[in-house]
Amino acid sequence: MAAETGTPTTLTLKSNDDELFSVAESAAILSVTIRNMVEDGCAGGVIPLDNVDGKTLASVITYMNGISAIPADEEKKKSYRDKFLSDKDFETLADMVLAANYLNMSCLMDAVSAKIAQVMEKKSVGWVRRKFGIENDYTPEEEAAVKEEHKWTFEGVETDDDN
Amino acid sequence: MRNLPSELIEDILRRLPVKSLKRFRSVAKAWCSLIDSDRFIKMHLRHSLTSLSNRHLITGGAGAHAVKPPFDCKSGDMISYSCNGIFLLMSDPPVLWNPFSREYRVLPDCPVEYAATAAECYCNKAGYEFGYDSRNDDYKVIRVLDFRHKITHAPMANETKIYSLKSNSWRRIEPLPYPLLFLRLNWRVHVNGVLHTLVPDPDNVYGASIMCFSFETERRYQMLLPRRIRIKGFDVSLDVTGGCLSVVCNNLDMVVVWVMKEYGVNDSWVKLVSVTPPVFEGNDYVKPLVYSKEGGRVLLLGKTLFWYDLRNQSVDYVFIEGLPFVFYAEACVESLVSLGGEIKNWGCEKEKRKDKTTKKRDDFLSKGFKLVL
Repeated sequence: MAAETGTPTTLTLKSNDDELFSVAESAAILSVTIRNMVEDGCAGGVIPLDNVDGKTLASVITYMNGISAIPADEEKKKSYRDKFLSDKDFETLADMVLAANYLNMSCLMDAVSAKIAQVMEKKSVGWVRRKFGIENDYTPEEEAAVKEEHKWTFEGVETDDDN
Repeated sequence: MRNLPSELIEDILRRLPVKSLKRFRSVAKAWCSLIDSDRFIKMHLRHSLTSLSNRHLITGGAGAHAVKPPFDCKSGDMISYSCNGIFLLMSDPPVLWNPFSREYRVLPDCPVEYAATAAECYCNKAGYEFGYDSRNDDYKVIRVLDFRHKITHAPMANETKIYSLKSNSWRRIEPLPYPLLFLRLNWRVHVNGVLHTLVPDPDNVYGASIMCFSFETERRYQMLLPRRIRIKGFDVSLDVTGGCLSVVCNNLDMVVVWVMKEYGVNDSWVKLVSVTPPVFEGNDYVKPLVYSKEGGRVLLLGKTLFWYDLRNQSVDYVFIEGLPFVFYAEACVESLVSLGGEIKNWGCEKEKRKDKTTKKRDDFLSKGFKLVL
């Protein structure tokens, strides 16, 4: 196929908001979900990815192309991943971790989860609640008691900038 | 705002340092239960160990604790190696301490049973060691009392007791055959829940072999030195390098470090480092500490700290401000491992029960000495 014709096989991916993307099969199969579809012969037409929106899918495809262009050199791949994620905000990172999970791309998931952890490390409790959409189910007394137990962990917390 | 499924949140949280996690217990009750759960504590430790993250060097100067423990202790009291982020402070009574969560537990009294203490013999300062018993998921401390004759100083008896954190009690075990006290630096080698020390072994071609004490079985056994090792003319000591048992052969002209890649497999000994001056300044003491994150270098402590590049066999000195001229360093990984305090159950949160001996304080840990690797 690809080798015979000299042109790489291209797949068409469709996001849940109906955007279409062309991507080289060799890059797209970084996703185990897509690779399984290709192997099962379901990749002839358009591959619908119901859990990923167009903006996130575009980003994931940029990553797929970028990382598959790098030869087997783990240090170079790592520095590509670091650079790729360096300017992403929390919402984008959260969308990407969901997409990477759905697409079963362990290397991307690992990198994005690590990046989110790095972003969170010095954040306040309020920031975490807002960003993760978590409801505070403590009563004020309970919350004060839990905080009191590890008062020292509230030193050096960044002021919330909501980025 | 994004609602991530709980397994993805766990995957993110297990990468965080202890300080952030203890703070995020206040996010919501479910986060608190997760972070306090035994399953999460283990997952967090496993991730830190396998990804070589959340690692630190704990350093101390001669006789002083650079990292000040949160409880009364004398400056002469020694701090042990670390096991899963826990240290043993060999004070009287001894204290188990997690400097990262700031939890500690003062061990209960352990009476001396050996009766013939009165007239003819004396007892050396107690020797303590500790380790992790993975089979029973328990931290254990050994105390060895070495009784000697007042006049001849000949060994008369040895009383060995073992403390289990789970049961919070001491019990007597078969005595360790070598007085820990005089070989104590050599017993400081804890790998895989087993303590190791070098012992004379006349039957062995090298005249020495490795004595092991397993915290799981509470039994001793012997292990052989690497087959091609040269120990004549060298100071030989045991150590831990990146979680592997290692043998350091050192004299002023050469340092050779062997590591046992696969624990207990004698064929897995490899020569990791072989370095001679002028690449590094010879010293009477060299201790391998850790591998670099990408694995290509080993951090060694001689006169000072230096990275040894395994590929180029070159040396890179590390200068850290604020360290005393002579210092000691120990590599450790931070962990949430709890020392047995009651874990809050939010169903009955009104109860303010706390084990009397498990406390948390917040007035220590000088940052400059807790180096992030």
